[in-house]
Amino acid sequence: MTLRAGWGQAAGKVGQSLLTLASVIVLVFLLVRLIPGDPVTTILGSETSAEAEAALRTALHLDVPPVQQFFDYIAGLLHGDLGQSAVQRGDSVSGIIAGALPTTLSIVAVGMLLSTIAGISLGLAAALSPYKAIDLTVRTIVMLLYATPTFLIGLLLTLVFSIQLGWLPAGGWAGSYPDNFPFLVLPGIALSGHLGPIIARTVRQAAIESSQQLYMEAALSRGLSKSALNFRHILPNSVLPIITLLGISFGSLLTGAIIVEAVFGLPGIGSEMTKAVARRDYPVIQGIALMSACAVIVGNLLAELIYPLVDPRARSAS
Amino acid sequence: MTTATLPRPFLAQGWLRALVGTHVSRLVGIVMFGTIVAMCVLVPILSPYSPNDFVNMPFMAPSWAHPFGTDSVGRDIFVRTFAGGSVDLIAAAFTTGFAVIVGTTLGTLAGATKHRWADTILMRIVDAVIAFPLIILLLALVVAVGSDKPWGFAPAGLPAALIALMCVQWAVYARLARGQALALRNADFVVASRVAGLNPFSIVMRHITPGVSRITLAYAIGDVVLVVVILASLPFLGAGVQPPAPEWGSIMYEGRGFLRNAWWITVMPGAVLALTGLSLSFIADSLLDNRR
Amino acid sequence: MSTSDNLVEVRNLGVLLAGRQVIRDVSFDIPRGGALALVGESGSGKTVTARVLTGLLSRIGGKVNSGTATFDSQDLVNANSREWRKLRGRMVALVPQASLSSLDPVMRIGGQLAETISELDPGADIRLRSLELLDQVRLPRPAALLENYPHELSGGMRQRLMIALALAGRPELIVADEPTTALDVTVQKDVLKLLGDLRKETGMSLLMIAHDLAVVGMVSESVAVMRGGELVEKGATDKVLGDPDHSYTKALLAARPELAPVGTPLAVLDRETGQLHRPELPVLLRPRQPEPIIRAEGVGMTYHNAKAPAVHPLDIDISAGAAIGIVGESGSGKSTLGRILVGAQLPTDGTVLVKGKSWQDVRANDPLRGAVQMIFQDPYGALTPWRTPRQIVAEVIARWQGLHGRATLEAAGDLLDDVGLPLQAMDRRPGGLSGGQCQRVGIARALACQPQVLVADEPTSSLDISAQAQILNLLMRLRAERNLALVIVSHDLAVIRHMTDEALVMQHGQIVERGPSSRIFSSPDNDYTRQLVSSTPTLRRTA
Repeated sequence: MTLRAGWGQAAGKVGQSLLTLASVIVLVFLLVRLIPGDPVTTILGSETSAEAEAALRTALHLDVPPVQQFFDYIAGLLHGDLGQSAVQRGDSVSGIIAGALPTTLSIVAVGMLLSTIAGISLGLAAALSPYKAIDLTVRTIVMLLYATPTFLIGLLLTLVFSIQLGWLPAGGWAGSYPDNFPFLVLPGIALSGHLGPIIARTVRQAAIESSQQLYMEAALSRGLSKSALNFRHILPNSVLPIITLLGISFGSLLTGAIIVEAVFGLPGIGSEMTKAVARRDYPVIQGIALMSACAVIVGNLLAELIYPLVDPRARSAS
Repeated sequence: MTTATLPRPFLAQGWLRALVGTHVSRLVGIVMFGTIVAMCVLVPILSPYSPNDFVNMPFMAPSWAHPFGTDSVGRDIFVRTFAGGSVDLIAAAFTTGFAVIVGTTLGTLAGATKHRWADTILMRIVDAVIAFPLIILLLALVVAVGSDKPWGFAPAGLPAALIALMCVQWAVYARLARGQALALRNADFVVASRVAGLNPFSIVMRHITPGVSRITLAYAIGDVVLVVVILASLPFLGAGVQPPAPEWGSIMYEGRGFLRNAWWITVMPGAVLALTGLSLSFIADSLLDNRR
Repeated sequence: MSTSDNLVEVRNLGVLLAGRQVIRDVSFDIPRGGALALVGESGSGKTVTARVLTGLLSRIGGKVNSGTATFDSQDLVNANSREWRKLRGRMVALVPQASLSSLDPVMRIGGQLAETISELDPGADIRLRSLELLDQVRLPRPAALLENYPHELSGGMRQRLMIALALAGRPELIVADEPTTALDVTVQKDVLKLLGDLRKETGMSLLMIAHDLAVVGMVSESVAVMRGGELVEKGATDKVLGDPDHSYTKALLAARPELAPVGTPLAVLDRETGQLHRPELPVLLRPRQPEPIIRAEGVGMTYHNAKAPAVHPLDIDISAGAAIGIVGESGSGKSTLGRILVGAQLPTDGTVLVKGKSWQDVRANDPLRGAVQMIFQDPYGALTPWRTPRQIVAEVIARWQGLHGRATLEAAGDLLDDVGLPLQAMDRRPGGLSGGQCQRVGIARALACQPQVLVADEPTSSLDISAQAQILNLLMRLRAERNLALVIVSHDLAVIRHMTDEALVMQHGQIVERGPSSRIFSSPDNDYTRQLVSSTPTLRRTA
């Protein structure tokens, strides 16, 4: 019975995500159409020929009525077709994204891993002696880190570890594993400079809250040792919120990855986005926006689906 | 009386407790932030040269004459940093203020209304806006708005970023306020007000909105930090404030190529930015901590 | 071994907490195998005293600043954390009050038992010992229970589990801190009986902390009464409850509704004089009106996705001056019914008519909206935290009595004064008031609508006994003065019997018995009512 309820819950969450996805698609479609001004002139600039304009209009599929544009757009999406680049004729948007995505995902994965490890350790270190010197130090460092832009962290890392010490490459990409790994270290650390502090704060808060819970007092009154309690009760209870946090942070990780790519010159989604922004390449921008929103929705959904598996309370709540 | 006698477990005693105590960290934050704001106002006024003057040799290291050094064309970075600070801080305060007002109003109404369909539609839009990674939606909108010309006081590149931020930022506040309003809607004191026949508008204004505002305020202060960081990141992605106007991000972006020989071009404005963020985080944290 | 017969000796104990002397000169003994109940209202220091004996005082930042406390001649005041680890669980074990938050929500029952057993009883076979402990506290199907998480158990089962965990180290003393406060009366009776039986089986001693004098008689032969950090009276339970010496103990007993004649004001201790006094009630005028103010026809409530209705369709009429009680345990649907009668919630079946008009058609600006008002269980939750009593009441007065500006604030002050709120409390935020004061504000807000019916949902269950007496007196006075109809929703039979003429007993959303209150509680027809009546701990009238 609980299993059936669990499936029902999961189905509800998937449905919710699909609705959000639908809204996102509508928003992406409207992005170009609702903005004042003609996208074609925006892309080509003012000094251009009528033929070039007409050709681009056809290529962008802007020469048919809006309603038909919308249904054609949806039909294209259903076939995995995100359109063609407006600048580099012949390049499909999905092809561009597929080529760049693995790099970005590797950075995100490394950043997520480092953030989680550093965040949990710092958060717990602070929480175990709350309002004391360690806590004060950790909190200040964490806030400072959070307030430092990702690109600045990246630049400083380059300054120290590449320029001064020469330990790691300041940028570039080997293109294949395992040769890529050295190129991932500094970008990964830079990326975790944003999420790591958020995780550390969450863990600290949760750990302090759980250490104040009555079950800690009750366990203490049964003669259990503090260290055993920290390990068996505080740790699991304070790590739980990270699952939700990682899910909702997927968007900010992508944001960070894009900046990190620009700093370290990595050939990922961020570089494609920067290129597209510079060239006013609408279809690519739209495609990347849609793809990244999908990634965020999937990330959220995964977190929501996983959470009940680790927290028994979420399983029976309807 | 009851709150005063409630024991506060796990608070260390003594001077450290006093130092880290919520009010002191708030005070530190306010003093730091106040100093930075004062510098942003005073430095451009009192300084003998303007941010775009070529005042000395390029690449001079920090000294008494030029506390933050000079950049690749010999402009004073100290003056440029604090002149640029006004751009970032005013822009962040403006868009966040707009987002707080619009988002909180819409969210509170959505949470408090009896018309669930209105709530559903609004929340679908909010979900969709929040689903986009902030910077991607920003870049897409910046391109779409496409204004490269300065508007009044706003230097070139900024108006597009401001419009984009205003389109995006409100959604978080709408979600936040709606959640709070929904929780408060069924609180006993709101039920009591309804049962006492008070008019629904005054229930929202007097019994729901104040409960929403404190968390929102803390969140908004945190958001100002985020917006400053995002604005400063835009130049790295080919958007944002265009040179030669001083802005933290654009100054740092210009300096990135000279990191090996002239680190101060990038690091000095960066440090001021980070300290601004730190001071605001202190304030926001103390607001949240005080609620418990 | 010690030469003393006493397991615990506390002498002239003083405790400082947050700069205040919260315990002053407290002395008592607990004999080996004996029991002591420490009774008092909130702020009496009973729980802080228990913390001294369980070594948990420093967790809330408290400090013993005078006197001694020993366990088996071992000094507890100066024991360090290593010594405490040897004492806790093995010698002294705690049964805490709130059983849900006292268990780790993400660990199975089996895991929590296992970690306790492996710490306190290292040689034991963990599974066998777990089952034995669960069996000892009479939990059914212990093997299956090990796989459950705390939130999957009922409150009574969880409290038994807390007792099992306390027994794991075979302690000599169990400190039970309000172990039955959150439980329904029928469950409370079983848990108290279990504690008594375990004492007989194991020969352990018991320190019971309680706010309710009536539960004490079931588990302890001696009792100590605390007030404001001092121990005012101690002695054999029969003596203290039957013939108390101290005026405070007398006041505690006199405040109990079951010891006073039905419908009479309850005695209240005057804080200044230390004397008991009984307020006078105006003569009750009860002009019977044929036409009821509220007529509920076939009213029922089924929540979305719920298997069974929370309230099965039922009929109730409420006329002016009536006093109706709705009794039941948690989950009986009594609170839902109360909210439906007020119109705070619309029923899924039937209609509630207020003077002939359905709540569904009564808008916020309808004069009928003020006719039925509500008093809430949580006195703090019922008041907007950032508004003062005067603002809260003035706002409603402005709505109903056509006053403006200063006049509303003055009228609010008069009304708050009438319900007995001290002047200096009128402009403080609710967080700075006592529970009883908040409840008075809630009543004043209701009166500001000039209602004809007052529905009170557990109006006194989160209050101390003396505050309860004052609120009940106030409700009785208002009823007489204003010919208000009262609907009191409560789990407390004594309150219902004292306050109402007619009672409905609810179980699983259905009315199982209804009739005159005096008859229902003296000779109930229904089995469930009978069980409720027999489970309710009461004190016999002696004087």
